[in-house]
Amino acid sequence: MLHLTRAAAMFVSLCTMLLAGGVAAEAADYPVRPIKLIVPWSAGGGMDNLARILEPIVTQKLGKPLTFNYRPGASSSVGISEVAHAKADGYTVTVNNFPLQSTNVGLGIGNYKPEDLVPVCMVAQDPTMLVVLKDSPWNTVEEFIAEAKAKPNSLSVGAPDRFGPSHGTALLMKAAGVPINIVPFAAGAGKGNSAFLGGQVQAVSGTISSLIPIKESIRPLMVGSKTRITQFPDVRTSAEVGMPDVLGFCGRFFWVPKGTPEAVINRLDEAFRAASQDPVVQQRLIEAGMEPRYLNHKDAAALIKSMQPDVERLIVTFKDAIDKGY
Amino acid sequence: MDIVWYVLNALLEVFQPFNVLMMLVGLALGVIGGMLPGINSVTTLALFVPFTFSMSPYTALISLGSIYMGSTYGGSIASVLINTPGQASSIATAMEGYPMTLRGDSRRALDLSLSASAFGGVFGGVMLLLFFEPLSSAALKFGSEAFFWMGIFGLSALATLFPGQVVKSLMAGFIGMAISTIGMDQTAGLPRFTMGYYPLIQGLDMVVVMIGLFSISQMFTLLESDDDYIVAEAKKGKSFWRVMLDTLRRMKLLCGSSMLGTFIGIMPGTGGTVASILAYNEAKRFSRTPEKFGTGIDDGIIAPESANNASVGGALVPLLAIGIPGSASAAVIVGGLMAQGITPGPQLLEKAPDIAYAFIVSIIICSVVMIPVGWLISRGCVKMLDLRRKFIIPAVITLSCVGGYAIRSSMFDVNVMLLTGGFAYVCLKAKIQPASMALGLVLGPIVEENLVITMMRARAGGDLVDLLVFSPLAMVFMICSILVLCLPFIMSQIKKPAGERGLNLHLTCNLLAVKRFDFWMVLLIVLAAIPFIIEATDFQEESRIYPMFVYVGIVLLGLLALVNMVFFTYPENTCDDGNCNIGMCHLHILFCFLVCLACIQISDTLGFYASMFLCMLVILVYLTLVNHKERLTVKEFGKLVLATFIAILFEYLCFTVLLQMETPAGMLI
Repeated sequence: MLHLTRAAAMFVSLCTMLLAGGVAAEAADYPVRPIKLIVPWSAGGGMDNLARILEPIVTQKLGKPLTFNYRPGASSSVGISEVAHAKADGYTVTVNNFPLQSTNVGLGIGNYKPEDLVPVCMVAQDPTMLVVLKDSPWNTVEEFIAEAKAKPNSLSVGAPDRFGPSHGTALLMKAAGVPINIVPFAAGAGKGNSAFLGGQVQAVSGTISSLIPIKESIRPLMVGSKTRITQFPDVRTSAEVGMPDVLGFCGRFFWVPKGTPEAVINRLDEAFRAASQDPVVQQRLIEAGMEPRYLNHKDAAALIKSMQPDVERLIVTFKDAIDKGY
Repeated sequence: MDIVWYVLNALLEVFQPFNVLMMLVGLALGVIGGMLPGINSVTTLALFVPFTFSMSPYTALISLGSIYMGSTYGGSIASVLINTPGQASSIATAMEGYPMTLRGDSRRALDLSLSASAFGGVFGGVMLLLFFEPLSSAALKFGSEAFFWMGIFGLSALATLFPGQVVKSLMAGFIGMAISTIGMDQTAGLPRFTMGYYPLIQGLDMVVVMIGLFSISQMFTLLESDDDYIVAEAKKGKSFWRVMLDTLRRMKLLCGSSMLGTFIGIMPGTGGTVASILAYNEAKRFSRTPEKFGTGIDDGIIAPESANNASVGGALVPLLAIGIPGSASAAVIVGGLMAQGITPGPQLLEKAPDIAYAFIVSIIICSVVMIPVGWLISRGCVKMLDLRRKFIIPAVITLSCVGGYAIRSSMFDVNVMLLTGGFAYVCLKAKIQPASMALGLVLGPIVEENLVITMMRARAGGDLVDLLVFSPLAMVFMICSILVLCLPFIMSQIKKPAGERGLNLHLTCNLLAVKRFDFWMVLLIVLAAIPFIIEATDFQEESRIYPMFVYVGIVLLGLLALVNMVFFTYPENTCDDGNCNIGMCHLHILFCFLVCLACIQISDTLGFYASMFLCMLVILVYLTLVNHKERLTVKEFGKLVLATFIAILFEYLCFTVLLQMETPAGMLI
């Protein structure tokens, strides 16, 4: 009888503990089961590669595997919409570009609000670069701009991702008064690069990771970033050539749904930090054309906040492009 | 003579025991992945890439190459046996291979496809080894205007695909093109035709629609008959070596198709699918007996199968020469390489020629090694035909559901697949062929994308007409397309006796047409296209042209078909095979269709595999009781449960254990 009472008492206290401290206990033990990583892009693409490079160390640090779910569609909006509406318990994580994730909402493609997701951290950046062929007549960006201004709309610039960072940079350049003809290509499979090598467009504005496979044939003119980048240290930034607004920022972030407990985010952040600061991982990222740059979840959120004017400007530029039909 | 030295070194590397082992593993994985619906080369490769991180670059490349080669072949096995192409690149094979199976010649069809695939693989690999530099610079000359006309050239095959049904075949092609316009406008980057329903923004995935068009509709067709087995009696046939010799005797066809396949493979953005369809059409066009195509003849298998495997080597040409992947699968290989710290492109050949040549040589070797691997797997699969029809139908339906889900881990896709299957079956009854739709589905996006890009390019000073019509490569393809479209008509005029030349208009008003099923079906499709035309009028200039062309095309072709039915009664259009009358079999089909849909809806709560189990079991019990009119004893029921369990376990092992796919888990798994 005593046993039974004691057992009942234990059971009751256990229940109370579970009810009262359920959330806190969950966060403290996190993770207790595999974490679902939604990759909102095709398997084998750039974002998948990034996550796969980080995966071994992240898994080791968390002690539970990351399970990869591919949800491509509408330039990441479909997968991100799913994450935005998922349970904020830290078992749904996604990887995506910023500011693309916010501009998609501005264009009406995303079924979520930008603030529905909060960053876990940023691990790398992949700015855009304006490049011409190695044997082309333009040695500097000034020469290219001079020719574009002398014969408006005669120079075609390929942009291998419609309404993505590359297209954005090209449009901002046009808005800054360089009359170029922009030819957007569907993303992936190197269609933009082959049209560029084949001479069907005179220049290409692309993220560095997309240009790495053809780096032997290109002459970089300008990088759309505030600081110079390690892969191409001689290439001047857009501010250095007098167009500070022509920025092609593309940060690779990990995200969780809004409302995820702070402790869980910290735990995830820690694991991703360990992974992204590993020298082997960094070497791999650089070889894939991505510049390792780790920002913890607070700094990443601050960066996103500080970039709000840039996001607004991009959205306006994109909408303007839609209205004018290019 | 550097190349000889490199090749010898590469041979030594490829024949390292571990590399040989990984080649075998890669081939087997590839063949199985290619065979399963929904898992194509791209998926199989992408799923394998993480495993290559811990390998040496040689082993990684050898296994990725073997997977690519194996999966390109694997698609043909399911096409031949049950008319459900494992992936888009074996649609043409299904059109020829399945009729052979029905005749009892399944083994011959499988052997033909294996030997043609191996030949194509070797051919593409040799071309890659010898000519990758000149070939890739030739490919760069192909601008968007040439791609546009190449797409049109491919579409022109619609006119000859189903003789006697030209209008309906064209209409089906336009329906396929229309399906591909739903979702995101790839070139404008904005949603279109989503009818306000957000999930439609992701578009109807090509592979998902293909599974519906072929696998699901084929299972419904199988439900029409209550025979116990699909094939009455399988013939023993010739041994594999004899069939292989038969294949090699068609050297001209093999080389022509492989050449075409290699070249299509080199073009960025086009791969085995386009290669196999074009090769099939060319084989038919140059054949002395084109009327036999579609009835199960050797050439119809040899051509597409050699072409799609030759495209593997082709797709790697621009990858190694200039760093641009020639197909979506090659793009995944690039990802795997970059993660290894290897950047593909010319620098690879300069800095690490041994790796590059080991890769090239392994492509050739693995094509040969594929013969025993493919033979073993295909011999295992042919046993499937010994199963009773009632087991095959629900097993393939559930397998297709899992495969449809696997592509984008999306239940939406599974629903789309089932609905497409129902639609395709109804269309099939109205003689609107899914194969034509598939052609439109594959080539439509190529045509649209390149049309828009050409127009964008033309804004930079050039004249659109100059660029689109008068550039040399565009001219070549354009003239070919026009010839192809007109040739059948001219030929039929020449063959007729002199007195009967010219259009014979026997105008008879046949109002009985309204009693025909296809009349109403065509009318329905025409009416359905009209809201799309209205929506398309609001689009921007460049984005408007193609959807307008497609939907107006559907309406015009539909009206033409209706006029045909009412005023000119063609004998081949009449419905005398009895399939058009509604019978008991259609009730069975409707029942199965609804059971599948219902099971998919509850899969989130019940668990995916559990609901698939339920789906298969219900269909099996229904077929046993109603279709075969057998008594359901406890023992018999136990057998059905066991069969269902085995089928679902197989699916679980393939997708969740082997391919590490995540499925929704509800109460059960």
